[in-house]
Amino acid sequence: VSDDLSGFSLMELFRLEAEGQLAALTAGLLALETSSESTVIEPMMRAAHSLKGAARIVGMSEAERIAHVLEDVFVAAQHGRSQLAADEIDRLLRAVDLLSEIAKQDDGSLPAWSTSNTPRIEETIRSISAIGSGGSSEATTGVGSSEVRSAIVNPSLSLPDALLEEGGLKEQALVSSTTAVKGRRRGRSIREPSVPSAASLSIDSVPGPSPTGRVEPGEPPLTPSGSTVDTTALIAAPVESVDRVVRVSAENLNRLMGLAGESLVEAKRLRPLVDAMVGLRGDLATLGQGLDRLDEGVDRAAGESSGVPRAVVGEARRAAQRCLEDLGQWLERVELHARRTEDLVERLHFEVISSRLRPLSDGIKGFPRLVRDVARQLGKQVRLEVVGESTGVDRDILEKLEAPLSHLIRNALDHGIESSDERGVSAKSPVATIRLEARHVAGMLQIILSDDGRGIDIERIRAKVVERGYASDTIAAQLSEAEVLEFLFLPGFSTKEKVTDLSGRGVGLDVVQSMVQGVGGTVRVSTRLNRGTTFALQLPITMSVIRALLVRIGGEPYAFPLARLDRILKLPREEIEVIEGRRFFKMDDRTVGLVSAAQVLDRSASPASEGHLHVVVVSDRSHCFGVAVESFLGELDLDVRPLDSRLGKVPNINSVSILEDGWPVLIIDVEDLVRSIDNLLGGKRALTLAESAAAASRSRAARRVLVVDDSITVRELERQLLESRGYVVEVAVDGMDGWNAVRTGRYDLVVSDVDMPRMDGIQLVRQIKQDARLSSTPVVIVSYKDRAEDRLRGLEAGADSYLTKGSFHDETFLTTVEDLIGAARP
Amino acid sequence: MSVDERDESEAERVRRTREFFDRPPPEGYLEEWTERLARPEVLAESDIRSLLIFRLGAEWLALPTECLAEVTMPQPIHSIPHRSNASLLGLANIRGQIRLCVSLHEVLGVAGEAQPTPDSASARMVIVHDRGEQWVFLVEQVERAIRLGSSRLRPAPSTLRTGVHHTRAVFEWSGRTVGELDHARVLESLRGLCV
Repeated sequence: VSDDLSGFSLMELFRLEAEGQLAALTAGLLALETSSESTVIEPMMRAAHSLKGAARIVGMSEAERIAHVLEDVFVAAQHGRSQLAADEIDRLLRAVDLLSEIAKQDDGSLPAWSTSNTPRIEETIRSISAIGSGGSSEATTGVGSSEVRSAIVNPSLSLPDALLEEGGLKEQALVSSTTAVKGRRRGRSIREPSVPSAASLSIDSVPGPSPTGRVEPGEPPLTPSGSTVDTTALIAAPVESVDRVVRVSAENLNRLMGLAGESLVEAKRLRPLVDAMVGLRGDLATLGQGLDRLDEGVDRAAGESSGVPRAVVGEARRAAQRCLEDLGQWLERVELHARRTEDLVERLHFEVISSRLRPLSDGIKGFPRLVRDVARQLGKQVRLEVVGESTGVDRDILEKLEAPLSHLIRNALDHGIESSDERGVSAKSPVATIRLEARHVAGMLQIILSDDGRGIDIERIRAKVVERGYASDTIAAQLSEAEVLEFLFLPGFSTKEKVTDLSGRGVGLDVVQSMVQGVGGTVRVSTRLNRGTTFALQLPITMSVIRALLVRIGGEPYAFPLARLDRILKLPREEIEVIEGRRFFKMDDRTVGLVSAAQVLDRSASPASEGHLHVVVVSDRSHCFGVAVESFLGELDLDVRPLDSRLGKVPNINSVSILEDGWPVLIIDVEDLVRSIDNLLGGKRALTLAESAAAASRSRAARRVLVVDDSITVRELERQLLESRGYVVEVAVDGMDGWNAVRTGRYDLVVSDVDMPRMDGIQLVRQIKQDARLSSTPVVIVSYKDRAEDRLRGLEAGADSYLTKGSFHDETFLTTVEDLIGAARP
Repeated sequence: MSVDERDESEAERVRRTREFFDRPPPEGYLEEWTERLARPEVLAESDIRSLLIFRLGAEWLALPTECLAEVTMPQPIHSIPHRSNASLLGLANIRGQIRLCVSLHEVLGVAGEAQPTPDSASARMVIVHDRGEQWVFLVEQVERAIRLGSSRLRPAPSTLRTGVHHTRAVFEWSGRTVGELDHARVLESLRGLCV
């Protein structure tokens, strides 16, 4: 059964159907809490009904019975015979849960599952039946009639078994693909007499609604006269959810994408061919004109010469004319063909690209239910607001988002949001709001989860940091608000004394962070006391498509993500000024430093264009620079692919893509680029030769230490400690910066934090230890994380020592350094 | 020619064609072929290797075809900032996939022009694969794939380039001496480029 055509087995189809119907039921039940309109109940009734029919076909009697009682309840509710309040909805939701559990079982595990869950099933059925018991007798009749409807309205799943088992139809019947069925139609149609209820299957005769409008059979299935019933087509009512679950391996999709891209390149090559033909037509026209003139000349001289050359010229003239006409016709056809092909391939390319993206709503289906259940359990009133549901999210990332987001939502519900009474005191609306917002920003997918709850008390956390011994009073006092909040992501750092079964202690924000980091993203938290807390997730779109500015650097194409650009300028050379050998220009009354992109990227510069400089202005929070490129090539969409992992992290480069002409293009990592420019201008490499020689001689004797930490406080503290002992210290602001520094400068020791943006300490250590030239450099990790497994992780990566930040209080830090590399001067 | 006549000749031709194709096979024909096809292959698999012969600079070299993914026309190579060097050339688009391009000339220390110019007509890109990784390099010319009995292989000369040897054996082919590369070693050297 399973491997026919589109490859869906009976059970798989049931699961698809169940998934859709259960989602409809959940949505309906949640909506019911705010409105008791019959418009809400009716779709649920239909969903339960379809589910019942589907369950019967696959022989899942438990599911069938549960769906049956559910339907009864809805029928009763629709006729006003039973009221569905929060308690009843709880029970109904539990039944829906049970159904989805059943649907998750596969053919093998089902019998065991149902045996062990019999009491639960019975209990659920009893509790549901109790809701609808108000009008049981009528309900029974209702069921009777609705069963008839089932057979009619939902032919895709409710055909009588007898029919299904006939002539191998069962196999084919469940392949719900119209195209798949078409080819077989001829041989498979069944004469009416062999279909007992064929007449009643005519859709026209069906009164009443069809479930969610999606099981309407395909256009041509029934011949009203009823002479022949094309069973296959009848069964092949397209089930909407079928295409939602077609599984394609990522590798497959990548290849498909590659081929679509290549097709596009090839299609674009038709254009020059057409142009060449246009040129040919021009030449031919010139030839024709030449012959015309020759003909006229011959005409005039006709008296003297014989008639022969005249006939020859005339013939040639006509031949040229024919060629020109033919060529014109061919040209038209080829042009049309080229245009059509391009259009077609462009669409294909677009489709393939967008097939990787799913709307956010696909990944957050469970959230309304989560909010409802948890809020109810806690006795809070909470509304979930989702903005940007249709934001395209890479399917891989979407899959990994659900867990961290639901963690954060639980957190907000449990810790962030106050009880209604409390909210009343602070003059807030009794109904709290949790807002989930998704959008594409700055070449990243940004997901913001905010609540309007009590917020986080920074000072309490600061106190706790000291209390836990993570930092001394003085250091803790210096920590910025953002730095204090970072502590929330430490394992076991709880802000709520009471442990709840909902979100536990500390609620695993460290887990959230590691999950988000797992897909290459970051989490930031900000808060305002009594106003609420916001978690901002920045996720890469390495698998998505970005809009980019294409430029030329060193004669090769590079792309700047459009979202990360401040602006682009064509700067007249005379507007560039120079101070102390540094070039800059004025932009909106600001002076902006100017560097050549080729210099930053270490490429040889091609001769720049005359007159104007092409400048891309980029910035991060603290810096703004102009980057001079050789030319602007235009704006375009690029499907972003990761760089070959064999290359490691390439400085200043984020990812790679392919242009329409087949050229590879590198996509600039703007954040990294800004940092590199800053280093280039401010630091190490911008020193004059004399300066660097002097610095080198001064420091020749002293041992050099590189301190890598993203917190300026810790960085400075470590620098001061080490310098007090005479070491020469340089600093890097994160792992990536550290990795770049470690390869360019010579250090006797590296001191690194673990949690840092862009590249964490573990990865940095690993890179250093894997590099033949650097592997002998000792590395000390200094981290807040002091659990045994954290320590082990650091040492396994190759760190020579693992210290906690408490080690600053005593001599541990400095002793360790001395043990590893000796005193500052040998 | 009347219509009838044409039809008749058409029918006649069909008949004769059919007769030709349907004629019984000559005596013993089927038996002979049955016997011939049933005979086991004389060549033992282990003795035969399939090799792709190509030219790198002035040297003729060969790689086992099982490590080859593809041979294509040269594609533009995009250099990689802070990474590209004489051995690691950059990235190229091979059938819509971005692949890492290396210089086999550099890796093997092959003399001659450092890089074949991609626009010379005989230049090709050879893509080798191993353990899910692909490597692309330019060669001046791809001759052809051949099957070769191991008896024709001679050990590589001891005077071979000092340092790392990548050549396993040499053989004569079309009047030339071809070096059979040890693909495992070549791939190892390629991997070394990226560390």
